[in-house]
Amino acid sequence: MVVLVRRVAAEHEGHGLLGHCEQAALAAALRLRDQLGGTLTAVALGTAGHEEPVLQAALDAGCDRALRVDAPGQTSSLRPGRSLGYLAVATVLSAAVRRLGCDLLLCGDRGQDQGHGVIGPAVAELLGMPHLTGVLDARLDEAWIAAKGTGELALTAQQRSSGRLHRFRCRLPVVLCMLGAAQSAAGGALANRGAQEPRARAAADTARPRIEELGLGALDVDPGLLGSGASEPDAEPAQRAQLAQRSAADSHGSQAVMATSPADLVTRLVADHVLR
Amino acid sequence: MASILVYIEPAADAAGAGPLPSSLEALGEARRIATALGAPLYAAAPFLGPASGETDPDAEHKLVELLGRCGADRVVLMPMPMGTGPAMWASHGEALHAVYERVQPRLVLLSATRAGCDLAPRLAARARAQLMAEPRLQTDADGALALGDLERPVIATLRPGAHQPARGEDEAEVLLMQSAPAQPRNVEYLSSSEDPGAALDTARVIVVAGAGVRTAEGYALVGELAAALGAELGATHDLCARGLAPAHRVIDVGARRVAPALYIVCAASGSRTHLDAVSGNPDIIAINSDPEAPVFQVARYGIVGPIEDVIPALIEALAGRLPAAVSS
Repeated sequence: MVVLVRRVAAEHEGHGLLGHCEQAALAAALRLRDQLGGTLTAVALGTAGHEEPVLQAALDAGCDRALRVDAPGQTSSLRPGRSLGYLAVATVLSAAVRRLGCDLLLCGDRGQDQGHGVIGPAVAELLGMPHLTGVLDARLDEAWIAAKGTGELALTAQQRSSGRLHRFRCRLPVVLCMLGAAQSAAGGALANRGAQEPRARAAADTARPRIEELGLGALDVDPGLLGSGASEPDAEPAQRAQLAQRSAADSHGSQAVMATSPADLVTRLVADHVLR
Repeated sequence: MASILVYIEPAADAAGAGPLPSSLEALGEARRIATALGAPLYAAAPFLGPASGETDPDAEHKLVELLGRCGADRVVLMPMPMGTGPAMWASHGEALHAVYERVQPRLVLLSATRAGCDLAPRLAARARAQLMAEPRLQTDADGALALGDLERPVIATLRPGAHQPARGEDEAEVLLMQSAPAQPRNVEYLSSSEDPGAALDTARVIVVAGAGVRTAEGYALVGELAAALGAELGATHDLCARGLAPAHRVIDVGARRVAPALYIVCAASGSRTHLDAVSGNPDIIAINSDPEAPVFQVARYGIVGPIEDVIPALIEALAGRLPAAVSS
């Protein structure tokens, strides 16, 4: 099993180093690993300084292995926000996952910062694995497994889509993209505790798993895909309307009109036709 | 001549289901671009029917007629059985890719619904295309589309509600694909049920409780304000994580996005992970005991004070008034 983790951008770190969706993915991965057995590896792409805290947190939370794919000097090309950056990120991650061998991969449905939700489906495509996004919960389908009696494994997954909750049976191999949910709080707290309270390590503690590192040279990745990022124009000149970055023209002024009392607020809202 | 392709998501998993309104918006935006570029515009429309594969000719005609009036030059019908669950890659992906291979578009547009966000990245990865989220699609003085690397096709998702459907009287040519290629069985649809928080998805007025709500009584108080305004009640992730609000009410980038006209924020600081999930540029009213709370930088109206004091007085001052957005 593999879980993809990624450190959130600095301005989002008030909620921990992992986004809510990654927290949910990690919690689900740990639970499924305990049910299924096998090895759970946390994988991150980036520099040591940036990603090793989240990988250490994943190990502290109970992952069996942690792998950092090193991409020094390429970070600018590996932002999903660039129009081809998603493909570079997905290519590198899928190559690393392929090298590990995996029949169940979990990741966050979307990042806490950019929130585009593209990496999971793109990685699934490059791995040739089916995928499901918007997953709220995933459980071992013990009844189906027992009835099948072939050793084949399956999960039931609950997805939120189109105003409904949908249930699916997902036979392995599969990629599940997890939505952040309150039940992930336990996993998130566990994951982020490790990052916020690093444990002192005894010099002779060789049994504790260490973060493994893999360079791009060890992966069968087309260098041209990665090298193009540096000169590629930013193909997203228009950002999604983000309330925290609204211009003064959009936000009716740079600061709120402050009411002196609830009655004053209602008077203003009626005058501005916000209230009837 | 480069062509444009729009994915038309069915509004429901039912025989002859019509298109989702946001797909018609995407088609309208595609029509504008296609007219500027002189490019043919294709609409890829899953057409749901019984498992036998037979289709209702009348329903089929109505769909093609509608898509033609909404701007499509050609409609590619993709017959597929209903009962396969919501639109997504597992049910529609291979068929959509078959259309992509047939049409060879330079630009593909999908609405940024759950289905669109599920289909677009996988289609883009398969096609080695550029992928953009909610770009501004501008044509320059020479009529060329101002996009990134024009050597590669572009697949873009458009935010629902951000564009207008086209309205005309033109007819579209129909292209009928073969029945959808068999989908892999690894992801098998079982059943669906009500999403208890679904009303938030379409709510015009939302009152949200934030991390500053410390007690169940405080959360209930925010609920009273929502009821007084005829609004839906939401909550931030922190509140749900503390067990004060159910998970289905979370409004967060990683959970549920909303697009209200009026958004009342109670005891929430205004974190990016929360407010980035709110689109559509609503009027925001912020209630917070901290006058320095960042939410006051993005709100249109604000009032400083603890919710235990402000909300009861606000409900009394409302005296039954309702937001204009509730009835619009």
